[in-house]
Amino acid sequence: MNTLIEMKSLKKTFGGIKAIQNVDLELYAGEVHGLLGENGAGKSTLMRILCGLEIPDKGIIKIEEKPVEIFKPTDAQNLGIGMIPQELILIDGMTVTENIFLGHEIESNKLGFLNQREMREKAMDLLEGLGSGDIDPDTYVGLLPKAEQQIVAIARRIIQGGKVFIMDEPTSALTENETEKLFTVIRKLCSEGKAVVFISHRLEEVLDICDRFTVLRDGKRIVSVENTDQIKKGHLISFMIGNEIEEEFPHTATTPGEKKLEAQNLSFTTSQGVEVKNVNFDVCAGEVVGITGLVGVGKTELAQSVMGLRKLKDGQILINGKKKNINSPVSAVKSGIGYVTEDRRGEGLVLGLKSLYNMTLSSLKKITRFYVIRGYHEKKLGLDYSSKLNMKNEYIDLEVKKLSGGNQQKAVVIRQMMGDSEIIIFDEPTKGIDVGAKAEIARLISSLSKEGKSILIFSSEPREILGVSDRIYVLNNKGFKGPFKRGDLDYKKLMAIEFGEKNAGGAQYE
Amino acid sequence: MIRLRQKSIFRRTLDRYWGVITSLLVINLFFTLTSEYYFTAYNIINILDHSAISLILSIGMVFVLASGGIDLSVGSTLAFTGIIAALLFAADLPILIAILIAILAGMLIGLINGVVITHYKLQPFIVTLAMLSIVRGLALVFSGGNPIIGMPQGFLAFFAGDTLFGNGIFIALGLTALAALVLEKTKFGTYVKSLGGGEEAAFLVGVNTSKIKICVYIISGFCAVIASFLFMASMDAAEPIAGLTTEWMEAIAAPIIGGNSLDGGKAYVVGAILGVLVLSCIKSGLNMMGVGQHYQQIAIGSVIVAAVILDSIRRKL
Repeated sequence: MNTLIEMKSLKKTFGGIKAIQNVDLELYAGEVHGLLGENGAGKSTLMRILCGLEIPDKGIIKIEEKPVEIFKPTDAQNLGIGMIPQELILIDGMTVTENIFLGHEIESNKLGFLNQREMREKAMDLLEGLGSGDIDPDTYVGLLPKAEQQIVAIARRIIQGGKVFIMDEPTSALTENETEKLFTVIRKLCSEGKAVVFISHRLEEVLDICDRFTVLRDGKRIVSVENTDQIKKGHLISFMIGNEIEEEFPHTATTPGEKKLEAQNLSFTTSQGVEVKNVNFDVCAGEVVGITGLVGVGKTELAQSVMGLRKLKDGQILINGKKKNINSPVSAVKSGIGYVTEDRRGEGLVLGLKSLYNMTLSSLKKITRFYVIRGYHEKKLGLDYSSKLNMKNEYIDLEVKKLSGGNQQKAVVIRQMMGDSEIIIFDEPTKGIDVGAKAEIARLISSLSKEGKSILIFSSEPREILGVSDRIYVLNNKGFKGPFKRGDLDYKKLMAIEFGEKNAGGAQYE
Repeated sequence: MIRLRQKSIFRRTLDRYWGVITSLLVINLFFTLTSEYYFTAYNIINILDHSAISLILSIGMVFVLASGGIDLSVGSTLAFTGIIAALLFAADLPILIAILIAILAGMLIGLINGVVITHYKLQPFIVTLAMLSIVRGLALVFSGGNPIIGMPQGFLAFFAGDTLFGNGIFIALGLTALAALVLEKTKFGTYVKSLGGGEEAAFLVGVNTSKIKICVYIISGFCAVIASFLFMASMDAAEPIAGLTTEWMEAIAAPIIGGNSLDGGKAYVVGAILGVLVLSCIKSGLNMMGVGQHYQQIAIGSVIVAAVILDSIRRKL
């Protein structure tokens, strides 16, 4: 097979963190190449470089043996490389034909009028060629199901002269039939000599569709192999996670008190339109409960459902044994639930305000008299808490946007502590925080639980979940599993469950 | 393989505009029943005549709205470029040259709007709001605050000349047809709509989004100048306070009533026509019923709110 793309010793660092280091990757014409790795292994960074969305610090990219320079998305596009992104970049309010030809319209004559008939015909030919002749070229893309939108996006890439199709989790929103349809399209593309990069956490699918695959771990290439019958899911998992396991997140277990929050039979729809049913979990006072799963399975959506930010389809939530109707953050707060969002900068903090004001935002009642905030009391309260969390005193007078990620997270946590929430939900608490601060956040969570608070952590970082939680629940693409007690799970077992491995905990890996 | 056939233009139009068309029919029926003078040839011609200015402004606004923007400065531009043209007429410049200079002035205002919005990545609302104030100020300064009365004969003959209707409505319809052609049948039109629907997506396929955006504001400025000429011709004067409130409000409201959206992505020219007609018919009908100017403002505001609510309900269906 001839090599279509060769990437050599690529390197990219983000603020001191090595996202990928000296990674090589070859793509052959006519192959489906699986790209595997845990969250944060460097898959996305590598592909973003190939698409011109990131510029590598070092390294060479060759296309058909000629070195090329890719600095922006249009460079990549002109070379025939493009991502069929997870969030599709189609325009909902435009028709299928318009979307397919966007940027590559056919004009009929010198006057510059569009040849709409020809575009429509070509669009239909193209869709038919992809085995999707039933997609109406005149319908608005926003009205199509996700799978068909994906096919429209692929058709657009073909029109743009695409040679390499990068698909990041293309099947996460698809039903089995739709997935089969997409695979037909992928095989069709490959039979025409195009290359497809297939990024997925669904290992069965990877084994099903890919000709070869490459596994990344901690920004390094672990292996590139051909897909043969000898290769099983277990092999892939052990490639991905390696063997080292470190205790990064210290936690001393506490004796839990009575049940604080109990979720019974919840069902909800993820943002990718998948329905998750039969979710049952509970948290006791003084306990840390972790809920984990791969990116995109719906953890954040579950957290939002508990907070009343997202409508529950079914099920109920009991607080202190009593059924509560939580339909907005206001009622959640009234029921004693505090929420530390995943998107601290966007949703959690008022960036332009001093961190002190951010901390006291939801507990102003404590420091006001006749509707007037008493500055002295406010500062004293802020200092009390910031010293508790090892946050430097001078930070509370700084605008919160000037603080580091770790200190911003502390400010948010302090707000929840001041607010007297009995139950605190953390959504991806250490996302985008450096290693030192991560350990500190973990200690913080531990100390909150020692104060008798109930902590619920939603995180896709297995090490963090294993480190801080007393009990663990796992959401995978087959459903909601658990609880597993602290100590019953180790890294390998947890990953196996997350990937939906049937003999979870078995010793079939080398 | 059976190929899917495209729905006819007639069906598509009806699908899209049934709401506005129904409202228009109801409004006309109501006024016809309440006033014997409403549904007369004279009044219908009158309504169409009065619609011309709003229609031209609306057409410019359809471009801006489709791109996801808004242009609040059209009323001021209308006044300012009118004053410029009138001053040049008074200076005995050839009519054609004076008109050209006024048109260039309007397009320049649009250009500045567009460049400031794209270059500094600012909200169109605030940029054009500032421009509204600046340009209105310029109009007042240039005119000393007073109307300039008396337009040249040739100018009046072209812009206000009477055939069956005033020439205005033909000019407006001509521009409308041109706009529809550009929006529906050219790359540029597609890109304008793609800006409002998904600027990121358009940028990623290599559309020069800044250029398209700037063009949109230039078109809006151009339309404001043409509307200004019609206004001057009908008044035989240039007014520094022309287009102060209702004109620009209608210029934005009419396209919205016709199904265009502040979120962009849609360019319904026919909708703009229908929206203009709705507003003109209501105005005319209220006049016939002897409802005062002040109450009319309340009525028009209510219609706009009702239309937007209806549209949001329709979209949820």
